[in-house]
Amino acid sequence: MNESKLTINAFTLVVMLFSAIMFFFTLVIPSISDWTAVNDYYRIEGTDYAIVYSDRKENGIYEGPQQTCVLKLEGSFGHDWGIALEEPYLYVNEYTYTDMGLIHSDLVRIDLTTFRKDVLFKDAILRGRCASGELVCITGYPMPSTFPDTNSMSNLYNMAAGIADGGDGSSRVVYLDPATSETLYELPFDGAEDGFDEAYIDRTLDDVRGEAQP
Amino acid sequence: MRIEWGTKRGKALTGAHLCVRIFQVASLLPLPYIFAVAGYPAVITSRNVLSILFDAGIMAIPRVEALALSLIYRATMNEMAVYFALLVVSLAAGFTFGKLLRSEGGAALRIRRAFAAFLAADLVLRLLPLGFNTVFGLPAAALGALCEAACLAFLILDLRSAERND
Repeated sequence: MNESKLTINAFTLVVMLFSAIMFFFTLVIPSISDWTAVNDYYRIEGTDYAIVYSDRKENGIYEGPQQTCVLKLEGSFGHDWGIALEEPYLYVNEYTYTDMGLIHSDLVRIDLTTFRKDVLFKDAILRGRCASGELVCITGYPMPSTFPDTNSMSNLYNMAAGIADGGDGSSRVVYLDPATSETLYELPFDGAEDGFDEAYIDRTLDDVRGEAQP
Repeated sequence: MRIEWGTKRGKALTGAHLCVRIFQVASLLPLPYIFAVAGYPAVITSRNVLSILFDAGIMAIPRVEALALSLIYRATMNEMAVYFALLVVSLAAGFTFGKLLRSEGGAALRIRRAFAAFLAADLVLRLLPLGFNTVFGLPAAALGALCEAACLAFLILDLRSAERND
């Protein structure tokens, strides 16, 4: 029976060697997010900048009109969930991709004068401004695109990110001051997307605060 | 001349060796899922046997290691890093503990005690209601805790028999 230990070690070694050959020399890992060709240009209102997603050039923030625009900051920035401009800062989601194409979102602040990027919250989604102008984001929140809810690789990622399955209070709705990026108020998020806008976006911070406190 | 096969197989498998093997097998279980997803990404979009094996394997390895793997994944955003980290840890543990457990004198006994203490601490850690313990759901978590508890029991029995022999 003692020889079976050697067998497991030898088996592991063989798997390692063959995996190295497979992964590094023969196998091309496709990305599950690259199924369609993309060339999108979204102007950031009130500025001369635009967020560009393209298969022909780098994703990022560009300056100028679509045909002659110049790259200012590389990155996959979101224009879909929420974006907020508070001169000179642009608050936006930045999507990061794993090698297999799983998507994660960070809330970043970009200084449009220097194009310095600061990550305010990792694994967070900016949802826009509330009725009184504060930024509303959800922190500790996995991207809903990683289905089924959630796959094993996402769960492994979530372990270190502190994101628990099933909305146990690890996700929070955070209100930020757009001028200073300071957290003004936060409350637990139950993970329910339905009615999010009515509950948090369409109301003022004072309304949300008043309802949460008895 | 008659060749006798399997004469070295007469030695009993000690609890400590069994623990190392369970640990190695648990480390290998998540690999087919990562390998399959790397070649055929649609695997990730459905719940299947490979994903169940992944969850079971990740939950059966010590929490400290699983958390370290998760940190590696989060820092590198690279599934291959996780894949090879699992292989390296499994191989290193097999060789290292195999060598230590075969050592003469009190060293083997000390390593068993240290291993048992580590498993007991890890078992307590996985039972705490911390965020990273609840990610994979109750069935996988229960299976992992059961595996680790069985390893601890094997080790304690092993320690007892070693102390009796001394």
